[in-house]
Formats: sequence, C-alpha cells, structure tokens
Amino acid sequence: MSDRSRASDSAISTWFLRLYVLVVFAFVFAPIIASFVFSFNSDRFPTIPLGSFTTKWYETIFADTDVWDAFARSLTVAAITAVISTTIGFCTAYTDFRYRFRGKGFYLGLALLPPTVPLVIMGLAMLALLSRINMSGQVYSIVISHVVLCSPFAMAICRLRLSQMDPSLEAAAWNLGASQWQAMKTVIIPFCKPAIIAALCLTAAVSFDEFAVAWFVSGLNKTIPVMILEILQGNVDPQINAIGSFVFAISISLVVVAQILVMTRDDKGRKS
Amino acid sequence: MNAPVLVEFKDVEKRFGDTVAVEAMDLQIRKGEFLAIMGSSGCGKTTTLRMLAGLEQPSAGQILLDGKRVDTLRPEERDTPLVWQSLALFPFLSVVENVEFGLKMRGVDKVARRERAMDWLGRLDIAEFASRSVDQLSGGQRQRVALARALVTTPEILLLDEPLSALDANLVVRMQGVLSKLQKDLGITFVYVTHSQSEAFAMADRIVVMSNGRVEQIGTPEEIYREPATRFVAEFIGTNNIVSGSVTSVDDRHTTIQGDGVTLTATNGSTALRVGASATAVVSADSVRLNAAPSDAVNQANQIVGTLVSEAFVGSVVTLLLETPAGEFRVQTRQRDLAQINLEHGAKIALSFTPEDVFLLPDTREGG
Amino acid sequence: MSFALPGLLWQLLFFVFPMMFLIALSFWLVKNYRMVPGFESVNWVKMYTRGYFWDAYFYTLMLAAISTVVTSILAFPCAYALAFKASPTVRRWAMFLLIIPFFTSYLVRAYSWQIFLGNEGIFNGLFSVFGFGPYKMLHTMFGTMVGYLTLCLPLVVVLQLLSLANVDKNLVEAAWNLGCGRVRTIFQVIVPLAKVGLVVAATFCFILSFGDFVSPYYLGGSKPPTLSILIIDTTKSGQQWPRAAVVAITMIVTLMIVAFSAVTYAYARRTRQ
Repeated sequence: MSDRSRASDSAISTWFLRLYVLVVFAFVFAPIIASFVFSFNSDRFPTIPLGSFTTKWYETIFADTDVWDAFARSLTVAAITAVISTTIGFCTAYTDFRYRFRGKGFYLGLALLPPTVPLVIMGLAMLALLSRINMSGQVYSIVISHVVLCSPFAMAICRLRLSQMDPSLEAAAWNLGASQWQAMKTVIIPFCKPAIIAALCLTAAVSFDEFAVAWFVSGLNKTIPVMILEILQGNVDPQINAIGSFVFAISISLVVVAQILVMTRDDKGRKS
Repeated sequence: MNAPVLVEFKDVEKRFGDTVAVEAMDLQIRKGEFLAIMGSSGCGKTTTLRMLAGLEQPSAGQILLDGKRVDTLRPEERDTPLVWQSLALFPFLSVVENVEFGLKMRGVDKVARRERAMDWLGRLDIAEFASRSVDQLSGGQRQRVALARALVTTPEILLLDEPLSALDANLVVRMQGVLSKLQKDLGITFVYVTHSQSEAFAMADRIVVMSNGRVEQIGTPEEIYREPATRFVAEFIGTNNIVSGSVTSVDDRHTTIQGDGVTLTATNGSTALRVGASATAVVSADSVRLNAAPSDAVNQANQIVGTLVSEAFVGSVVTLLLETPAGEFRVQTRQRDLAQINLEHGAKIALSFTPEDVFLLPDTREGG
Repeated sequence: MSFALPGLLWQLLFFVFPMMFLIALSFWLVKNYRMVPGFESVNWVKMYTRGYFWDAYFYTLMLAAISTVVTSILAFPCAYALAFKASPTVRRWAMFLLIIPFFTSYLVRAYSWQIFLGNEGIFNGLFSVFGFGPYKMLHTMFGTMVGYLTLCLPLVVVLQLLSLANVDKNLVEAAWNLGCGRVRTIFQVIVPLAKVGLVVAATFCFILSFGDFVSPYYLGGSKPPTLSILIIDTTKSGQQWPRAAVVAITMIVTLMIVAFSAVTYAYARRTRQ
C-alpha cells in the first residue's frame, strides 16, 4: 500500500468517525436546543420555518400562581433533599473509605442500589407505604423519596474524592493529637469540600428534575416536573418549552457549578 | 561480521511536536546478529524500536527491511514482532491462544496453528501451562509466553523492548541465557532495547549507545568498554574513571596529559592529539592496581594517591571509592587481592595503571 | 462506625421497607375500594392468568432488548472515537457535555421529540419540502426507540467511553504488531478487554428502558402498554394497588435475573477445552 493511499485511508475513517460523533451529539442536544428555541416561537404548533419571536409563553407561566407555587415547592424539596442526601452520602462514603466490617458488601449494595430500581416501582412502593402511615401527599413525602434516590449519587462523588486522599493524612492528624471529630473537621471535611459542594449541586439538580416518584407521592403538592407531566398529558402546549427552558437553566447552572468545582480542584491536585 | 544487512535506517528523524526523539539516525543491522540499543530513559532507544515495528512514523528518512522500504507500511503489514516491556499478553486469552494469535491473523487454519503454538510452548518449556490463563503464570513463565507468541510466525527479526526489566535479578540472568541460546539456535536478528549495561554486555554482538536522540557509538561490547567514542559513552559505562586535562607531551609511542594534580600517560590511540589540546583520559575501574601507600608516596605519572571513602562488596568483587586530587576514583578488584591493604576509612592508597590501560579522548565541545 | 448509621437507617426505612411492603401488599385484598390486609394469592392469579399482562410483559421485554442492542451499537463508534482518536481535552469536554442531558428534564426532551416526530411535525415538514412523506413516526415503535435513545444514549456512551479509555494501549499495539488489522483489532482485542464496561453499560440501558414509561407512552402512543404504564393505569385509575404491586414485583425479579446474568457473563472466564 502506498504512502498516499494509507494516509487518505485513515483520513476517511477519521473523518467518518468525527462526523458520527457530531451526529450523536446532535441527537442528544437537538431536543434540548429545540425546546429552548420553541419557547420563543409564536406558533402553537411549531413547524419550520419558525413563527415570530415572542415571550408570551414565559409571560403566561410567570403570571400563573400555580407555576410559582410549584416552583417554590420544587426549590424547597431540592434544597432539603440536597442537604440530607449529601450528609448521608458523605457519611456512607466515609464509612466505606475508613472501615472494614462484616456485611460491608451488603451495606454498599443498599447504599448504591436505589437508582437501579425503576422510578415507577419506587413511586408505587413509596406511595403504598406512605399513604398507609398517612404520610403521603406532603412536601416531605417527596423529600423522603428523593433522598433515597439522590444519596447514592452524593456517596459516589464523595467516595471518589476520598479515594484521592492519602489515608495516612487522617492518621497523621490523630498522631498530632487531634480527636476523631477534630480530624474530621480539620482534615477530612476541608479535603472533601469541593466534592461536598458538587454533591449538593448534583443532588439538587436530580431532585429538581425528578417527576415519576414525585408524581406518585406528591398528591396535590405538585412540583414543577409533575406539572410538566400533567400538561404533557393534555395537548400540545408551548408553555412546556418555557417551563422546561427555565428549569433547564437552573439545573444546568447547578451542574456547571458542580463540574467547575470538581475540575478546578483536579487541576490543582495535578499541579502540586 | 560480514553478514548481509537486514535493516537499514537512513537519516531517520522522529519529532513529537517540538521535541526531537530521534535525530539523524543511520544504522545498519545485520542478519543474524544480536544488537542491543542502550541508553538512559528518553534517549530515543524505544522510539527507534517502535519505528522499526511501525508503531511510530518517522518524521523524515527511510527505514528498509531486507532492502524494501517499510516505513510507509502499517504495523500489521510488517513481520517485526515485538516483545513488550509490559509483555502485553492478552488477558482474555489462554496461554496457547495468545501464542496462536499471530498465526490466526495470518489465516493459518485451526489445527495447524494449535500444533505450531504447542511446538513453541514446548521449545520454551511451558507446554504444561498451555490451557492456563496468563495471569496464573509467574513472571518468568509469562516472559516465555511473550517470546513464543512473537516467534511463532518464524520472523527474520525479533524486537525486544526491555523485556527483563520487571524480573528479579536471578531470573534476569537465567532469561539472558535463554535469550542468547534462542538467538544462536534460530540464527535470526534480535534487536534488544535496554537501559541495563549488564544485559547488553552479556548478550549483544554489537551495542548502539544512544543519548538525546543521537547515536553516540556503535561497536562491540569490547569496543564500547575499552574505547568509548565520546565522553558520554565513557561516563555512561558506570565503571570508568574520567580525568580531564590538557596534553603536555607527545612522542611516537605515548601521549601525556596533565589533569588536576595528576599526570597520565597513555599509549597512542587512533586519534593523534597535539600538545596543548584538551583531552579526557578514561581508566576503567578494573584495570587499576592498588598499593598501600608508603608515607612518602607522591603523585607521579600514572600513579595517584587517594583516600579511601567507602567500599562495597558484591560477591567476590569489591568496588572501592577513593577521594583523589583528580576527583573520585573507582576501583574494582577481587576480594583476595585486598589482603595486604589497609581498608580503614581515610587510609592512603596508591593507585597505578599502565599506559595501555589509559584511553584518551579528544575533547569535543559538543560532547562535553 | 456511627457514620454508617444515617445511610443504613434511611435506606432501610425508606427503601428496603417500602419494597418489602410492596411484596406484602401484593397479597392484600381490595374490598369496596379499600385495601384490606390479608394473605391471598388472588392478585397473582388474576394478573398471571390475564393475556394482556403477558402481552405487556413480553412487549416490554422486547422493547428493552431492542433498545439495549440498538443503543449499544449506536453508542460504540462514538465512544471508540472519543477514547482512541480524541485528545484528552476533547474527551473531557465530550464527557462534560454527555453528563448534561442527565440533568435536563427527560419530560421536556420527550415533548421536544413530539414536535419533531409528529405527523405535522418538523421532520415531516422538512420531508414535504422534498416531496416525501408524511411518515408516521410519533406513536410508533420508532417513536418509542427515539425516546429510549434520548434516555440511554448519553449514559451508555459515557460508560463505554470509561471502559474503552481504560484499555491498555500496549495490547492494541501488540495486536497490530502481530498482524491484526485495525477493524479486526476492535473485535478481537478491544471489545474483549472492555467487555465488563460494555456489558454494564448495556445492563443500565436495559434497566432504564425496561422501567421507563415516558417514551412508550408519549412517543410510542402506549399501544400496546408496557408494564410501567400498566402500573400507572392500575394505580392512578382506581384502588387496584395490590395488582400493581404484582406487576412491580414481576418487573423487579426480571431485572434482577437480567442484571445477575449480565454480571455473570461479564466476569465469566472463558472455559478451556
């Protein structure tokens, strides 16, 4: 095979692969971008070419007190869920990092399994149990279920950070006279701070978007995603795009903040 | 010595971005020889080997195998099997399946390739492990699997990239024997990349010493050892003592140089030096004689008085380190030759050597 | 060890306990629209003797299996390109971009696809310009698959990418060195090396598709319904929660069998002759 044909050969395959990657990313982002674009489109039934620019869908939702109530509720749920599940996740990650004990496999399985259970089933189980003990249909019912779903993510993030830590750091602190609590406060938690903040952001984002379990247990206390779900069951309604884009902006800023925190810390670690 | 050329590097250069890994390389590898490419890490030795295998593309120049240009071929289109530093055995295949791999790629049918693979496992004494998984083998056994896998296609050349670096010292010596014998029996060319002098000196017919992407010297182990071409080579061979100085007299048999407080006389070599030129004298550690220094001993031609700093025993060989006016001196001798010498630290010892044992190198600015 | 407690208590109380309760619930009775505790097999018998239950079961199984195969195959070239051809910077950005959809509303994305795929949607609008169509895409299995891909593709690419990036490059080069061509190396060396990660990715894809109700409902038109839709219909329109529990338990058991077989397969040593 001549030099030239070899070069063009691999050029074609590289070109094809690049194009393929672009197509995959286009598929992944098409619905997200489209939803954003259509949220400013005046036509109720959007087609190409687009209608005129409008902010009426945003005006409609901002004028709707139900939307504001749901929004406030979503934020509350997300914030409380983030705090509780990050606390639990951190404790579980630290347990895994620090201790060996009988039944650890089972313990970790329990800690990490919930996201693999279909949300519908989780919703049904929570609804069945909570309604039996008269705890369903409340804002805290959503929080309870979301913590179950979110703490595994928080655990994973904190565990990843802990695995970058020299295990002897903590022992060194003890050796220098720190109590277990002091070592935790002065060594472990500062070291894990970026991971903890990242976990707060990510769990808040997951909770803020979760619709299935919330739909089962929320009763009349709808969150934003549950509201979207119910609008979706009706007719085509561009309000969804407006709400969706709004929600997207919030979730994505949480994710970006989390990502930046994780990345910058990584870079610092690499340099030193 | 006059075997035909199998591989030829013609003015080959390899750059990675701004760094030059290999520069202006001209190298001929003969059929049936055991060639070692030696140098410290980052000197370009592995890059040279990878270019020969096609895993790197030269930035300039040509590589010929058996007279045909191969630098434009993909690695899978060449028959230049490599034994990897990491061995690179396929963990999802059994021992015999690993060995069969190359044959399978060449379309050899199932029965024939199993037979040839088993034959090679037998030759390397590991037939009993054929159906094991590779991670159940010891380091030495894995080494043999890697060899069998590379040799099963009966190539004309075998490339080895520091294959023994992961083994413990005893095993290294044993594997050196295995490799040497294998190369002699098969009569094929081995190109062996290593940073270890002992491996290169123990096995190679010729050695290429590289530094900073350049070939410093190509020669037999004897030549590299006794007549280093550059100061780098002299220093790289860790047992050499090096004294810098300037030439004070030249006659038809000897050249004398004056270093820091020492005078060295050497038998004239191939390079003629002029009076006043700066030069480097190389004295290998095993050619220095020791005498307990009498109190009135002085530095004279080819005699240096030094102070003992430390000694190290490896088996029956002793390496002494002495502080002299010309810097540190290293002396290797047998333990029983030390009987009459006072080995207390700080003892004065006279070191002497014959003019035949002093090798003079003209100083080249770039070599310094 | 007190650090182990918060997670343990929460997950026991609000995860294990509800799941256990679901099992108990499947044996309860419904009388006059009220649930009565009991231990009767009537719900199991009723569900397991209904044709529509088994139709839904096998249809869901088939959809999830197709989704797993299609997603894995479509994701692989992308993950391969990012793992072996892209620079570390590009790879990190790609990873970041692929994580984003995970945190955007799946509902909104599904709704977006409705706009694209509808009979009067954007795709058919584009086709008509060139004189094709309209094609029915929404409320078909194709629509369901588009939804499943939306749900699973980013995750599967990320998981495949992670396992491919861990493949020892030396082994790939060793394969070339032994005469193995580029494409053949992918199947002979890279896929076996990344097997565990690829199987895990496929398993996650199966779990997500099997349990999802949004795609089969809003993009697939719920014709026929899947098991998740069956649970929702049974729960939301009436008090037949015990029967929904039967469906849910059947799903969980199925998923456990699938996940267990997948893990066994992933870690299986090849038997030697």
